[in-house]
Amino acid sequence: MPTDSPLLAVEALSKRFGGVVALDGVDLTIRLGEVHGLVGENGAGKSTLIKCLSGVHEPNAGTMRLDEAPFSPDGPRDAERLGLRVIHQELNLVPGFSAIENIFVGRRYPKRLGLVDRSAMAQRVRAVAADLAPDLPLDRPIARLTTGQCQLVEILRALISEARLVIMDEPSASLSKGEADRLHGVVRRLRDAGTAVLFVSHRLDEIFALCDRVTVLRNGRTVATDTTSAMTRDDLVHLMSGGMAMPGRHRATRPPGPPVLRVDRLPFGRRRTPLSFAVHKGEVVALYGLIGAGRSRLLRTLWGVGEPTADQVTTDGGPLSKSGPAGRIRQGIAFAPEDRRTQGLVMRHSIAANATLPRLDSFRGRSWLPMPSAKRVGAFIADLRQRLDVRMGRSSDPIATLSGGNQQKLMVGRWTPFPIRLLLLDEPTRGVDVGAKAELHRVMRDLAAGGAGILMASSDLEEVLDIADRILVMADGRIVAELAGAETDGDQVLAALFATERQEPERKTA
Amino acid sequence: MSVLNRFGTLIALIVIIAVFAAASPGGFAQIGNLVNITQQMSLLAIVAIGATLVMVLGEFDLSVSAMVSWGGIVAVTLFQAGVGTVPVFAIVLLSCLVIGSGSGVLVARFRVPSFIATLAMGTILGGLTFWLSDGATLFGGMPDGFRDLARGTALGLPVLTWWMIAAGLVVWLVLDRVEYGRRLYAIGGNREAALLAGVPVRRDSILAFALCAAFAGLVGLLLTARLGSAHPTGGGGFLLQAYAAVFLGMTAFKNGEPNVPGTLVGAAIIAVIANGLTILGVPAFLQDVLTGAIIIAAVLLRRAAGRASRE
Repeated sequence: MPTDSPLLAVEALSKRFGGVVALDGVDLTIRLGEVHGLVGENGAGKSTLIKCLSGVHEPNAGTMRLDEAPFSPDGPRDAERLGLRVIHQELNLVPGFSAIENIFVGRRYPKRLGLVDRSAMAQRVRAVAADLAPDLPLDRPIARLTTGQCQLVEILRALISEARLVIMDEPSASLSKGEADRLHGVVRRLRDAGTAVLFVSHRLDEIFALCDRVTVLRNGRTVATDTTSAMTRDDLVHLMSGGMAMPGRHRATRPPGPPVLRVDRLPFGRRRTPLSFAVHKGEVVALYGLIGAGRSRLLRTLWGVGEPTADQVTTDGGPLSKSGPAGRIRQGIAFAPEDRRTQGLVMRHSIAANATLPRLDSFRGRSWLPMPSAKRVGAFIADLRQRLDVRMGRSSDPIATLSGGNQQKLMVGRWTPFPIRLLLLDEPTRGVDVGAKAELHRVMRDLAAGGAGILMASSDLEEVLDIADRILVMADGRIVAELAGAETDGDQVLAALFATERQEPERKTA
Repeated sequence: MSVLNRFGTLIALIVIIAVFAAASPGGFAQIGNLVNITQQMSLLAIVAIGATLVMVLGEFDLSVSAMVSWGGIVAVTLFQAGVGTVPVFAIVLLSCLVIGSGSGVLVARFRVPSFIATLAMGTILGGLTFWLSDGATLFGGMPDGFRDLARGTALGLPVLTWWMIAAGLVVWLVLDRVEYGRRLYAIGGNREAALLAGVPVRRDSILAFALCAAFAGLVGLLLTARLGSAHPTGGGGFLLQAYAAVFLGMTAFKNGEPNVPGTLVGAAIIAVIANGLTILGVPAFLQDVLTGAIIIAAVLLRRAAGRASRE
């Protein structure tokens, strides 16, 4: 049972990435033998906090103390040595190894006559597993275990290394109800054995069922820490959203035009649930949801690189082109992916090469000659640079030399000089500074005012409330709520999102 | 520093030429010999120029040697059957385009690693070539007009040198200035980003493999015209040297990506070393050892220069 002596004490922790403030004064106290919940909407700073604790990031300011002693791990291995172990959402296990073999990866193997002593390995793992997960198949390759069983392997790994604080990052996100219940049982047993657990979850019912206390983060700050028994579900949602509401601040009052995109009973997601919605001319529609809700997959499908669509998706009354992104471009559709480094830009190529790539055939000097004219490319870049306020050197410099915000402006902006009927955006302002964010929002509003329909996936609640005319809340591959942007506040959006969690989540098949 | 960084490999070529010129002023440094080197490097350079296209994609085509041999054997077989020069060219190049597309489909459509797909393709092709020739060197039946395509000089330079210049110019233009080439670099730089930007990744990749094979087939034709015969493993030496040239070329110019001027410098380095060492009487086995060592040195130097310029 919880005692009062703090195991971990974090005070006023701050972390900046360039101009982006990720943590801005986080306080967190974890007591010996407690399960401590950590909640906050996407981007509130949960992941950054975990990375600071495990030594992946070095905080810019603030203190961390473990057992009253200053705690500043050099990296995950050092953090483990000091008794802190993180179980990530994506498990780091070797698929071809058994549980026993995985548990010893990166650890000193027991030796006999200079050779690895497999029976000693098995013995040590079995001693711990007997108690925690008696029916976990320890000899079977990880690839043949369920996600829930893999979680257990990670937990065993943490136990063998005698961790005193285990951080679990959304451990139940991909578990079935039964598996999640077993996981909760294991967490309670861990706690009873004296290990502290920091439990990060988006599932509020599980926070209430499992955690002794909970800390709420918002915009990189701790907004509350309290015992869960003293809180209600509505309190928690309200703390997370901060009562965010900006009705109509940036919205033009205009009637929606005819639809530019209509999705009509498109079988989508693992369950092939029929999905229906529309995006109208001049409208900004936000897809809001948790990571893994299927937003990116939906956008990719619409862009022609996901599952093929038949005639359930139409644009301006006609079916979407069959020839992938190139066909979409000809239909006046544009797309900016989620991760500019791995999906959006060729980082080692020049600014000009990246900016011209999607519409490469629009820069010809003579229309019959498939060669971009340097003059037209130069004029195009000069125009983008001026209109988007891009801070850059020469257009032949690698795009990697620009700041993230300027890269993002170019990745989105490179479409804008061309006629666009529908713009698909996946996290258009993730990880960019405030100035670039404002610039990108201005570009989106201008495009919408000019008659384009915009479908934007975003995990940034403030952004969604700020510029969306309509908000589609997505969970588990389905649209669970549709809200009018002008009349919605953060509580309503989060309430709609968390209203879905009581259902049985799907099993990950991957 | 930045000059050394940008033109390091070119400077290396000049230094190597200077060293041989100093060592053998009467032999190596004669204009006639230097012109001769351009002819000696030409066939290797054309294979390497074709391979550059595939390397830009970040892939390999290991079937180029087999493709050269195939081109030669098919050509002589057709000539002996009484087919004329123009149809022989057309048939050989077309067959290579088809076979290359096959490798391209395996790689781009079925995601077979190019190493494996083209190794297998080259092995199949080697077997077919052997079967077609019965394992023997084929000669005779070639019209003089065909043989003249690789003999003699025109406008003061060997005809083969002109073939190399033409191939180099065309591929340089395509890679550097034509939309197709820009798309190939984008695919090689970040396949996913290219795909999401609407680049027809599959089609473009397949065409690169087809063109690479066609350049190897062209070399098969020219080699046969030059020698007046074709051997079922006549292209055997080209594979390693062609990729050595491309790798050397990646360290020259352009931030570490394959490029035609670089490939030509790479081929020139290989040819100059072979020519110079032969004139100096160094035995052939030592030439191979030195060529390999120089390639490693060039790449390591480039890495060091790259690090220094980042700091």
